[in-house]
Amino acid sequence: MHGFERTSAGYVARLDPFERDVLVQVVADVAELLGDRPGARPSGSRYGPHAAAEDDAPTSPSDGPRPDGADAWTSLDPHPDALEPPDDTGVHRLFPDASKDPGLAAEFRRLTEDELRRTKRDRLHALWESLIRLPFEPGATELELVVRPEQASDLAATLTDIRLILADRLDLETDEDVTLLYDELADADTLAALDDELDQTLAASVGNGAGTSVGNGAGTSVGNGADTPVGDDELGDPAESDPAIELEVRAVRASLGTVYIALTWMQESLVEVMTAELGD
Amino acid sequence: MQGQTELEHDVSAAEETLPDDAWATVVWNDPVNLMSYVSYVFQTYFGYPHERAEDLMLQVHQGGSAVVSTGNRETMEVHVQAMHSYGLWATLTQGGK
Repeated sequence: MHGFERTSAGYVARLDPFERDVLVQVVADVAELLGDRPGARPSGSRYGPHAAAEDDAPTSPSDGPRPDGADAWTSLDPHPDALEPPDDTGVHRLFPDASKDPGLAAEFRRLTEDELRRTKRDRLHALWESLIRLPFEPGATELELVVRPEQASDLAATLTDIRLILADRLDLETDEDVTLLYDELADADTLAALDDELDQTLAASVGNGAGTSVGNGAGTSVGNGADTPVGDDELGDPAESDPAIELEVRAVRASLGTVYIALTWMQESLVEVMTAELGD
Repeated sequence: MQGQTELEHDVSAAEETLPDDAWATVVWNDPVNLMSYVSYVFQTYFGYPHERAEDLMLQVHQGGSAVVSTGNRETMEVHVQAMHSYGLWATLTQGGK
């Protein structure tokens, strides 16, 4: 991934197809947490180079359904408990209590949360759309994400929202926690080593006939499904004693941490070019 | 932290000059928001000059929070909602509470 640079076409970041696929998934997961979801779950094959090459003329959603259903992005019903703070701690951070006074905070939430949710979902949707429609030149190894200067503020805000959700899943509560995460992942081989270890442990447990529902490889899901043990919440769970589960937790954490750091870097480069523009 | 005492003094001095019933928009520190982004938001949303935006950003980052705007309740509600839209953690206060 190459951070944003100012060009005559706008602000341009470059990422490879794999990074794009990971980002598409994370954006969709965060949107789902906010009550929106893509109709079709993105996957590497669907949005890979071949799919993009076959459809290199970007279309808007109103142009009709794409054959692969990629634009089927449906809204769920409005949040039913708009007066109550969100149960999910990450979502709660996106819509924080506006006052220590519970009455004032509830009133503020009733008046603003629906609109804020729409704003944040629309921004995520816009990023999702631009990611899945990135033109891909056969033979090229990089995709160019081009952002017009007038879109940059929305993108910076939605990168913040995504990073806030990831930070919640990674239990990043202080500046020190963030420093520790960087230290933890400073070794570039951490992910690969964890993946190898996980594969070996899985092979061993399968060979022993010990059934396991652990998927292979490190997922990046930030959803609230039961299959995403990331934080300390699961400590004490009897399944914790299963080394495969423990490894999966570490692998998912390393994977989410890597995405968090990449998005931080992406946002830093974006804000840098946006700030340079202010001085003109 | 170097400079923190002075910054906190500035904050309390600013609050002391407010009428008892004045409303304020307070932005709080968090480990996720970038210093450059917070400064950018203060410059573009509030229209603050670079130096003032940087000063407020440092108050948030080093002191834990900063009063970024004061006025009537309706205006402060608009500001807090805008801060939430940007992903900043902001609250409404009245009379410094």
